[in-house]
Amino acid sequence: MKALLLCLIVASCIPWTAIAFAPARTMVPGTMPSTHIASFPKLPLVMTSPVLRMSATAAAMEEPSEGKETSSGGDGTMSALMFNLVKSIVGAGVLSLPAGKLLLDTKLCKY
Amino acid sequence: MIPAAFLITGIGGLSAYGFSLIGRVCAFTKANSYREAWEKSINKETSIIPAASCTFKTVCATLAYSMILADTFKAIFATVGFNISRSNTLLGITSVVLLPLCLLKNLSSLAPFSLLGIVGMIYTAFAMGVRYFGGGYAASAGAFLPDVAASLQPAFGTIGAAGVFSPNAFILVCMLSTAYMSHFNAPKFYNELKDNTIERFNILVGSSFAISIATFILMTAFGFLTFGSSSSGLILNNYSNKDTMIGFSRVAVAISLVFSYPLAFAGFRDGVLDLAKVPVEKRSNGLLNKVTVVCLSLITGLALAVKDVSFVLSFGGATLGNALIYVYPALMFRGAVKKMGDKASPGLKKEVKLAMANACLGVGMGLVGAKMALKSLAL
Repeated sequence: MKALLLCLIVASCIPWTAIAFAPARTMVPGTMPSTHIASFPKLPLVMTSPVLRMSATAAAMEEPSEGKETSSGGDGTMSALMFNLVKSIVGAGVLSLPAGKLLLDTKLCKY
Repeated sequence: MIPAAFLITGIGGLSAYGFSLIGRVCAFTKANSYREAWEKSINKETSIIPAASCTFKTVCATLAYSMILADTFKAIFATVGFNISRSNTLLGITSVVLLPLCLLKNLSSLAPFSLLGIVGMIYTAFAMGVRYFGGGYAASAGAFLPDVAASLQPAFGTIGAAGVFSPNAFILVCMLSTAYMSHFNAPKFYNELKDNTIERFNILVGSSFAISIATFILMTAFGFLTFGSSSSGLILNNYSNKDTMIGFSRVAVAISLVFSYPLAFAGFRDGVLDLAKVPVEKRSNGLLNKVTVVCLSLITGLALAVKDVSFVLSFGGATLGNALIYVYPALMFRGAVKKMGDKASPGLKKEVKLAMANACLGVGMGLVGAKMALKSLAL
């Protein structure tokens, strides 16, 4: 089990290292609130933001061809956004997961 | 541990699919927020549903924060020789630290501290790994065991892999739903991505969730393999107060939570005002202060009454987490494809069935998970 964990540690360090050493890009202030997002839980900053850029009606919906169609998008690089997304997912909630795991190994509840 | 790893991976995969669905709905509708995506794919009248869900989700979030802070500061105080009860610790931290921070009107100065969260978690994973591999808490021989309460010392069951088929597995599933929860920000990630094709967005989502899944498995493994069935709702509680390495971990987690708390709380307070339909221009400082005091008192009262943070995570995940991750994205995707009419490809129409199956799975997991979470609380 320890050897398996060591392999997992090495495997999970690779993407972290890649993100850390990727060309840095500062997020434009006010456009990417995920840097303000507490690691756990996730905040509804999107919902409460007064800035909405309405641009299309439902009637104008079209299916973009996967992988080919490009829209304007923002300025966020893949590595910067990846770091922010991981940061917004991995938070203090993970410290409770071992307790969830123990439930698999107990008979607290009888069905 | 291997069945749990499969569960963590499976739920992570489903969560990633939900996240991707929201991004695709934004691509179809040109929406910039979760609520706007709902309005454009379903209708405006019912957009209060995701808004209310989000507000109640922040209640669970701030409640979990308060509970973790109470436990963490209690352990930190014990480390430096002050034995203060959990209730007094929580009341003290809330009135001296959290209330002034929550009364702040401009939270931008707190943003840099949120980075501490991820640094703290990386350090905590490292410290837990060192303690597991170093055997500091190994049964009957661990150097720190004499300082750990008997109920928190390592103990291991015998059920093994069969445990994954136990109804209790749904509690872990729902806790994972909460842990993976970041879907309200999917529209922002999609719209901020440079050259945001669906293919690039899916790469972003897939890679990020893969890293998160690996991190979750590692930390669950370190905690559970060290303490087994004695694992506390907050695993740091299991470690000795005299363990300096874990002590730093507690400080890192505490600092990051203290400065993240006002950000989460602002989401809760603003959500309450939104639901009460108080216009932004009428939200005076006096009103904001009153609402802050009332909401913070409510959360603190709940945190005093409920002591198991894993219950909050599992019950919140079972109800609102499953709705936001599985059900709402599927409904929005179905609505968006329906509004495309003949422009939708046959592939998309078929995928609607898959998305709706995902939603049904979410409802099923939510019902059983909520029941099991309530049952575990009663025991």
